[in-house]
Amino acid sequence: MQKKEFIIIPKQKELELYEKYNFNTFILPLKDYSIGFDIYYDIDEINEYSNKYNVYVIMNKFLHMQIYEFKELYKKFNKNIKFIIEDIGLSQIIDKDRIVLYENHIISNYIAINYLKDIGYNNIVINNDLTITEIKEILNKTNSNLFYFYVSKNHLMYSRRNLVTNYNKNYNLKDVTTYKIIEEVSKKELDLYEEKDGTVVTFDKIYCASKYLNDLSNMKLIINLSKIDDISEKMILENYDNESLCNLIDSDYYFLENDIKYKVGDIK
Amino acid sequence: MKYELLLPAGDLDRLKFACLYGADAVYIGGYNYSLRANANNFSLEEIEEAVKFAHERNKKVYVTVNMIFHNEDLKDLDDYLIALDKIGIDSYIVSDFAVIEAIKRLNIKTKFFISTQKSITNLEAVKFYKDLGAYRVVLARECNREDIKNIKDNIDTEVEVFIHGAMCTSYSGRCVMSNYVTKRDSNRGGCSQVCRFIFDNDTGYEYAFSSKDLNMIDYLSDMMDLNIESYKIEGRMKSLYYIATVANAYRTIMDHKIKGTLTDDIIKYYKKVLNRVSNRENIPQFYNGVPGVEGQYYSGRQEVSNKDFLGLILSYDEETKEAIIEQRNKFSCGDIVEVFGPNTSIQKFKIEYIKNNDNELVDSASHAQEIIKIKIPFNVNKNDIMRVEIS
Repeated sequence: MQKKEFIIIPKQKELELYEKYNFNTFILPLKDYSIGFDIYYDIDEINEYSNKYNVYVIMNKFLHMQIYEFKELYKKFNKNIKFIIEDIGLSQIIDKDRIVLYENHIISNYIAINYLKDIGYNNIVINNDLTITEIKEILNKTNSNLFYFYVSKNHLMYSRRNLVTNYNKNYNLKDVTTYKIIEEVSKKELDLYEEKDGTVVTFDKIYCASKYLNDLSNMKLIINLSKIDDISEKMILENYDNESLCNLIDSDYYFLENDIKYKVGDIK
Repeated sequence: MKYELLLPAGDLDRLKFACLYGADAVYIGGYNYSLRANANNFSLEEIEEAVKFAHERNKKVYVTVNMIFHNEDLKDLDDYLIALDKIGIDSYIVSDFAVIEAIKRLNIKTKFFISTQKSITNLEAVKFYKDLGAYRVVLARECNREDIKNIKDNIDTEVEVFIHGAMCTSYSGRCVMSNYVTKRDSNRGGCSQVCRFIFDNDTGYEYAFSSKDLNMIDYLSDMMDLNIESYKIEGRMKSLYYIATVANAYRTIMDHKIKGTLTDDIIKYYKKVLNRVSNRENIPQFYNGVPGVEGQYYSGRQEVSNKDFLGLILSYDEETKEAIIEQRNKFSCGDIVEVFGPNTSIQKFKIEYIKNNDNELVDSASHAQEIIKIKIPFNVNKNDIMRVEIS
């Protein structure tokens, strides 16, 4: 039996709640360095949890000058903690063997993954807009530690702008930080979540790759519970290792089965 | 210090006009592997012609190979990179690690730099790409002055910044709304600009979040004081007139800055020119901080079409003072118009008469691309542009 590992990005602050579902590995969004999650943790909380669980810290913001604040912070993390990073500049601060490189929607082919391994980055989060055929080819042609957002409300866009506040100010509306928006033609629904340093747009449906669970071998499968409703959360926690999970929740896995035909070359 | 004005070109004509109107370098895309699938783009033969044309005028050509590669896209990458190297392009613009790997593995001599798709926002990220062999980085458009200064003051890697054109609402490369809403892959050249679509929400107003454009003309002098190497105009799908006008405007500003003759009046005039040629409102965006409510639109598409471009000068007879012109937008006898060009300073005149292709006098030139003759009281040159009076 090939090895799969499930990792939770929690929706509840108390990680003990997830023990009954057999989770002991967590990805914790670092406060002020992450965006688009429900719960954030400060360094003391993270260090404390790392004494009990396997802990990855996720930092998915582009950091600009804030990166220098992290230089000092980094020294205070327990040594067993690893870091899932979007800003490649953090590679100059964090020890390579503690880095999981996460360029959202970017790392999409086996040559890139093998090249990153050659230069010392062995832990990679691959794009989850890929087809299952593409993923299987990547699995066959790489031997890095691959991470994959297996269940998640995918972040479709990350802006530095305050897209909700600006809108509210423009129309003199009440001060909210989230909106559900519906595209007029396709009727696709998107959710906006504004935080201090920007706005994230997510798809309203839960991405779920459970139908192809048996093909996702040797991967670390991330279950991101952020922005997922309570009923679906419960369903996911009880059925995450079941191929039928995608049928039990309001899920979407279009890109697993459909290559996007509109791209360079196809339109000529 | 050499300051580079970098223009986009969606095809060979635009490239030629960009070069003629003041670009030091031009960036283009081939039929494959770039991020503007809707631009006409260049075949290898056209890239060869473009490089020849540019190099004869001491200009550079950069080729974008900056899409995000899926496995199937890798097949012909090596051959493409080798072909571009043989042609003698001046640089690849890349974002995917697979392209960097191929350039290194093939021991290609042509240099590469990092696309804005990588959203580089700090010095530490620049160091990472310098270690990989990049001689230049294109910074994220979200960088402010402090970000840029910190990078410029602390590393010798060249820096390229956007100074004019459209903005993504998202950090570049981190938006797949196009994929999800329209099934068009934004990171492989198919972006359908969903951020400019209209949405419903429950407020009673429509929802939109498209960005206004970038215009750094007020801060170009300050940016040059930061010793930034390259100043980039966005818009490989923009018109020939847009390319010529924007190139001419920024070329003039940069030259005055270098000579120490830049005045507020010059900036004011070219700001007016740029505002007219742009099809959206434009602001300095992130340079002085995160743009607030003024930085974006809240309802529908706000673009306006520009009809300033009246005609392209095809030839000029100094004896008769008659110019042959290819018409682009309607103009009439009695109109005050102006001409500018690579070697023609902006000058105004009144249209005294218009002769059509049959040499008949007509009141107006109203047929697109009609060949006509008019009298121009001063010398003009082939490829000069006639437009409505702006000053």
